[in-house]
Amino acid sequence: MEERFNNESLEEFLNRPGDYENERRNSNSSGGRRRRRRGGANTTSIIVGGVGDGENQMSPLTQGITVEGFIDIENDSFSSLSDYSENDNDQEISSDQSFDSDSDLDIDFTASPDSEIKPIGMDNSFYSIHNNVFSNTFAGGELTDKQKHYQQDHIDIISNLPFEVLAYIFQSLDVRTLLNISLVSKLFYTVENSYSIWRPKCRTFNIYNRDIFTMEQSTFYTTTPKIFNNSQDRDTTTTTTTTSTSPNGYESPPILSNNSTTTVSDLKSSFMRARTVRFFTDDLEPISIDNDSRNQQMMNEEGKEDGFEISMCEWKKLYFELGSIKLYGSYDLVESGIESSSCDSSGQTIHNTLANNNSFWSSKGTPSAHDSEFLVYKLEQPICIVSSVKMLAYKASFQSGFPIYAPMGVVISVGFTPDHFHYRSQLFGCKHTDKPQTFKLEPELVLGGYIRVELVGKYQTQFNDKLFYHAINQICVEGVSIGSLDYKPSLSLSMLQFYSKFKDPSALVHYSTNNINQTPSIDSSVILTVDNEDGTGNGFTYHQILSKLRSYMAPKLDVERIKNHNLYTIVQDVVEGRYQEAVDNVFKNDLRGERVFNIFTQTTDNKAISTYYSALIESLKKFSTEETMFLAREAFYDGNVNIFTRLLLSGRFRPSLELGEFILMNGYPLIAAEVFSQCQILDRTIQCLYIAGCHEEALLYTRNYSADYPLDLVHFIKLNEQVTDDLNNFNDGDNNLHEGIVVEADRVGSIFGIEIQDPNDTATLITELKKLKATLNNVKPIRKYSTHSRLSEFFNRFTQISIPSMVPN
Amino acid sequence: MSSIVKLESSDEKVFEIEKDIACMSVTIKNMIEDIGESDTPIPLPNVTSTILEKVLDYCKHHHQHPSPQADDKKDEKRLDDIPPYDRDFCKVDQPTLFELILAANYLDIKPLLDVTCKTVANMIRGKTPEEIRKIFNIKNDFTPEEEEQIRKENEWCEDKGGN
Repeated sequence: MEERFNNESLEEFLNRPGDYENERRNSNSSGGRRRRRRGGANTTSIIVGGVGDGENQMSPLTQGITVEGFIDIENDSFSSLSDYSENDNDQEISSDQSFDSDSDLDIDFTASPDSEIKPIGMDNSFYSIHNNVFSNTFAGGELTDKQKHYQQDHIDIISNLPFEVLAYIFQSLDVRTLLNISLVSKLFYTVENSYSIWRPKCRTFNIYNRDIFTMEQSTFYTTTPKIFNNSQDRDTTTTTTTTSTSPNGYESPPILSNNSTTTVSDLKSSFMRARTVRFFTDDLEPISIDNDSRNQQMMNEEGKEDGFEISMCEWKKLYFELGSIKLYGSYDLVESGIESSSCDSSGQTIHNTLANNNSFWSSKGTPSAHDSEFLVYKLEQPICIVSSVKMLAYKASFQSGFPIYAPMGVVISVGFTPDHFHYRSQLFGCKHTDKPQTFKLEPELVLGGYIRVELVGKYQTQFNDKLFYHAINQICVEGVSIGSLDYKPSLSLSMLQFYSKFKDPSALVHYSTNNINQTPSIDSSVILTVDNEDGTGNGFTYHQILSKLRSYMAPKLDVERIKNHNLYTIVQDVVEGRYQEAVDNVFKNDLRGERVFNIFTQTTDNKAISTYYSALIESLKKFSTEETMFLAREAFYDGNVNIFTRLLLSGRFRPSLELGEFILMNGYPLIAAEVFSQCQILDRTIQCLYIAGCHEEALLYTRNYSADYPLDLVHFIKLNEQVTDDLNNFNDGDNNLHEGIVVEADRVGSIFGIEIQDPNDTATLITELKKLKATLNNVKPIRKYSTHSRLSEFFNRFTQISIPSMVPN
Repeated sequence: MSSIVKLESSDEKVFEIEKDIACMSVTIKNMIEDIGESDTPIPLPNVTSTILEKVLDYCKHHHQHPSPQADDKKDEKRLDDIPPYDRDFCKVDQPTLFELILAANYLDIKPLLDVTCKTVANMIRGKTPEEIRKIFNIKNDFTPEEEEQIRKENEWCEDKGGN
C-alpha cells in the first residue's frame, strides 16, 4: 500500500483537465493491453468492460502492480456472468466496440460530464461494481427467476476488489485466519500467499503487536502437590520449596506429588526445557525469487492465462521458520574472550568471565563514575542468533562491606568482525547486584559472530584507592549458531545472504582453520552466480557453506545428544526405582549438575537422594554449591550438625555466602565462621566470631589478614556493646585499634586448652589450632540421629564410613 | 473558515464542502495543490453521489471530532479498536461497504480505508473457509488435489508454531 497514488497518471489527467476524450483513450489503451494478455480465456467483451471498469476506477493507484491481473484471470464469477449474459441477450460485442457503441452494456470509463457517451439506464452508478454487474447484465429488462437466482448466488464482490486492497484487508488478520482463508479460493490463496501479507509480519514493528513471543515447550507437572499425610513426607515440602530457583533463571518445576504419579516425562521436563521464540527481523530477505515476482514474470508472458500454482511464498516460509526457533537456555554461545578495554592485573583477564566461578575480570580504576568499559567475545560460529546476554557482576567478598563492581548500564553490540558491529542495542539499565542480570535482544533477530558488551557507568569505588571499577564474574550469551539450528533452509540461507553483505561467506568453509578474520570482500552476487552454476567456481554455494557450518557443529550436537540420552536413562532408572544404576550413570559419565541433582531431590522416595549422596561421598569429589546447601538444610533440620561439621572440616564442601548465612541464622555462629573463613569472606568470619563471643579469635583473624585487606574494625565494634567492652579490655589501654592489635597468644591458647608460655608466640598458637582442627576431623559423632530428614538413610550410613581425604583441588 | 471546494461525482452531482474537510482526502488535496483553487468542480469520476455523500459525512464527522491519533505505531493493526461512530458508519450492506473501500482507496482517506477494511477483516476473522465463501458468495475453484496440497502447507505452518 505504499504507492497509493500514481502521480504520473494523475499528472497526465490534470494536464488535460478538459480533454476527457484523451484520457479515455489512455484508459482504453491500457485496457487493451490487458485484454490481449487475457487472450482466449474470456472472449466476451462484457467481462472486459466489467473488469476494465474496475481497473479504471483504480487506475491511479494500481498501475504497475501487475499481479492485479491475476485477479481478473481467476475471476470466475464475471466469466460466468458474461457467459450468461451472452446467451441471454444474444449480444456479441468486441472489446473495441464496447467503447464506442451506444449499447446498454457500454461503460463509460471516464464518466466525464462532457462525454457524449451516456449510459442508458444507469443513472447513479457508473463504476460501482455491483451496479455494473446488475445494470450491465440486466439493464432494461425485468429480472427473470433465473436471473434472480444468479444474482443471489454469484455476486462475489470481494473477489473484485483490487489486489492490494484485498491484501490490505488481509494484513490485519491473524495467522490462523490467514491459513484458513487460503482454502477459500485460488484468488484468496494467491493474495494470502503474497509478499505484502507476510513481509510485514516478519518485521520488527510487529513486535509491539503481539503479547506472547515465546512458548515453554516442556510438559510440566499437571498434578498439584498433595498435602502430605504422613510425617515422613513432611520434610519434602520444606526442602524443595527452598531450592526453587536455579542460576539460569528457570523456576524449578514443582515437586512431584508422590511416587505413583512420577512419570518419565514429568522428570524429563525438569531438564529438557526448551523455549520456542518467535523472532522478527528487518535484516533478512528470502533468498530465492519469491512467488510474487514469479507471478509477475508469469503475468508478463503473453498467452499464459493460467498462472495459478501452489507454492508457498518465500516470505511465508521465512515467517514460520522465524517463529519456531528453539532455545534451550544453555547460555553457552561464547567461545572465547577477545578484548577488554582495560585490565587491572594479569590474573583478572576477560578469560575469567567465561565461567561462573570465583574468578573475575576487573577494569582499571578510573576517577569518574561515568566511565565506560567494554568486553568483546567471539561466539561459537561466525553466524549466530543472539537472543540474550546474561551478566554476573562480581561481589568482592574479600573486601569490607562486599562491594559489587557492577555497571550502571549495558549496551550490547553484535557484529561479524571483532571491530565492526552492525547491531547496537538500547541501553539496558543495571542494578547494583551480583545476581544474574539478563538483557534480552529477542524477539528481534540479531545475527553475528562477535559480541561486544559495553559497560556504562560505574557504581563502586574501591576502598583503598577511591577509584571506580568494573568487575565482572561472568558474561554468557544465549542463542543458536547457524550450524546448530534445526532444519530451517529458508532462514539459514537468508542468514548467509545477510552475512555476505559484510564478509565473503566462502571463507566460512575454512572456518575451523581460523581463516575467518579476513576483510570483507566479494559481493554476494558472485556467490549467487556460483550457486546457480552448481558450485563449479572458486567460491562455494550457500548450500555447501551451510552444510560445512553444520558439520562443524555436529560433534557438539552429538555430545549433547549422548548426554541427553544418558539423562533420559537416568530419569527412567529413577522413576523405576533403580537408584544405584542411576547414580552410577551420573558419576561414571560425569553428568552431575543442577538439573540432574533436581531429578533426585524431586523424587519423593528419599532413598534416591540418599543413594546419590553416598556415591558423592565415595567419589572423592567436591560437593557443588547446591549439593552443599541441600545437605546443610537437611542436617540442620534434624540436628545432624556434627556430620555437617565433619564434612565441612574435611574440605569437601563448596561453601558459599548463602550457606554461611543459613548456618548463622540457625544459631551456629562458630560453624558459620568456619564457612565464611573457607570462602575467605573475612568480614563475616570476624562478625560470626564476635557473635559467638570469641573476640580473641576474631582479633587473631583480623591481625592475620589485615595486612592484605584493610578491615574496618569500627564496623564490627559497633555490632554490640559487649564486643566493645571486650575489645577495650582486651587491648588494655591501646586506643588505636586500627594499628596495633595485640594478640596474647597464651590467652587465646587457653581458650582452646593449648598451653603457650610466650604471649607473642602466635605462630605456635596457630600450629596448635591447626592440629586441633585436624583431630576434630576424626571425632565420632556423639549422638546418633534417626529422624525425619530426607537424608536420614545417608546420615545413618555416614556414621559407619570414614570420610575419604580431600582430593587436591 | 476555509474556502469552499466543489466536488463532482461520477453522476454529475456537485457537492460543496469546506476545503479543510475535502483535504482529508489526499487525492483531492493533491489535485487542489496542483490546479489551484477554482470554481470548476473537481471531477471524481470513480465515486458515485451516494457514496461520495457518505464519504463526506464521514469526513465532516471526523473533522469535527478529531480522534486522538496519538500512538503512531506504524502499521499497527488491531481489529477491536473501531470507534462507535465508525462502527455504525460501516453498518451497511456489502456492496456499499466495498464501494466505500474503493472510494476510500481512490480518494486516499487512510482512516476511512482502515476502518472499512477492518470491518471486512472482522467479517472474515475466525471463520471457516466454507463460511467465508458463503458470506461473500465466493466460488470454490480448487480441485480436490489443490485443496489437499494447501492443507498440507498449512499443516507445515502449524507445525512450525503458527502463533
